[in-house]
Amino acid sequence: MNWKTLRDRRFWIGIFCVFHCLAVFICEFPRISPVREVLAVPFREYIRFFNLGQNWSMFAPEPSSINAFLRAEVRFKDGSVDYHDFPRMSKMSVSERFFKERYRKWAVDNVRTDDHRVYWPAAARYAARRAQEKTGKVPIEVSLWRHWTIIKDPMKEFVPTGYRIPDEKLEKFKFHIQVIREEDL
Amino acid sequence: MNWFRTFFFRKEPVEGIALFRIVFSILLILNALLLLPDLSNFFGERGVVEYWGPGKFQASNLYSFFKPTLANSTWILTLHLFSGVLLMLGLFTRTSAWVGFLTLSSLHHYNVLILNSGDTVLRLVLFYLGFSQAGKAYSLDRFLALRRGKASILPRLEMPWAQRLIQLQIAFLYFSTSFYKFDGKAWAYGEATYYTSRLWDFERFPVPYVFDHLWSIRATTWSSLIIEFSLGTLIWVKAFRIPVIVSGVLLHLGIEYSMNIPLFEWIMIALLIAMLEPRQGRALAQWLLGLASRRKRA
Repeated sequence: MNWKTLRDRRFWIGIFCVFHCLAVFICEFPRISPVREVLAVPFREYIRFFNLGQNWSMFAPEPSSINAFLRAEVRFKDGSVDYHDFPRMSKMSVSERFFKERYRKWAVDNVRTDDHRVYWPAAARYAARRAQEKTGKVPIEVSLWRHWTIIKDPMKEFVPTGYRIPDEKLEKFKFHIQVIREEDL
Repeated sequence: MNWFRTFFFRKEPVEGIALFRIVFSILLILNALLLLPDLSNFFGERGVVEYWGPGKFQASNLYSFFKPTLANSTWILTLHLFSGVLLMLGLFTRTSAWVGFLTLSSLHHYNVLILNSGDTVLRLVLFYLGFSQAGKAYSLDRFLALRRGKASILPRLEMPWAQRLIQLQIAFLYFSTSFYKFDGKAWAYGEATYYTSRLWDFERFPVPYVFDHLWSIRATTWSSLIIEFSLGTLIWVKAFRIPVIVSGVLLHLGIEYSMNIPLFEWIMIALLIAMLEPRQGRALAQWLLGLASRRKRA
């Protein structure tokens, strides 16, 4: 390698391209192995620093087989109780769904799962504020419920498209209780 | 090393990547406009998540420098929208792409729970566009350079290395997702679209027959897997490139019709413009221009 090569910007661009492609391929390939973890060490900080992380799961490895929604049970200072549903796509028109899809991502894909328990208090506080806006009452406690039904294996039970199960027949589970303080509202 | 030099550095037409820039930035603007009505819920102190700022310093996060408040999120999203408009017009193209990347990346840091793969694509492509020659055609940058006498009548050929990085990224995306799906039983047995068509939250327009019969469910599952795998692999074979891209467009249009995943499918279709060889991209851009001028005359 001589000075002429080092002065050529294509040389440095080439090094960047190789480094970047290796970083993306090694850090983001969806197969975790000890070898990959070792190889990824020099690249992880680059990916994190520039926020180049990516996850291409997109219905992989399995598509979701759960129809679910979240409901907040809000207890008020006067002893009454009200229910606040987190935005539900299945109750919206086609155009509304287009605008509100991110709420589904937040509630159903993320807050619902145990992996995201760190976000439960914020979700409960958000529900408390919504309930206060709706009723004008002061919430003191919020319980988060998940409601769900599993889509069964089509070889065991083939259901037609567009079928529905009424809310009261869905499985449900209270997964978080949050005490609401004045400063949360 | 010759193939490497040819692939990244042989000078190519820029009209294709310029066309991609315009289509992509329209989607970027739409994405920002969709976030606007829910700004306080998604990026405010009293919103759906509570963000305390980054733990470690991150270059691509404005919340490393500013408090995570609704006021700061408002100007970050406004700046993002503005950069999207400049990118579409091709004014200060590279700077606009970098500003777009920085602002979008910051918003992504604030609230990761509302993001889908389309958001990731937007962020990554902005990073690559910051290096690209996408402003060298169909842009105000070029118009101004022509007025100052600093550009030739026809856009110059340029090194396509940034477009190549976009192409490699897109191919990796498809390869990665199809490879991941090989681990899934529902994909192996051809039942994946049975499940996706029964997710109530994703329903859009009715698709009669197709998702109510096992044979057509299997056909749609396996064909989408084959198309995705081809978009990551066969697309590099010259003879297959156009058929693979066309089948990719059809796949995404089909999903767009049947499922509610706002903007994602359109973003993926836009990406397929960048997958064209630069000369094919120029031909497409010129064909579209010809079509537009014929309509104008008519």
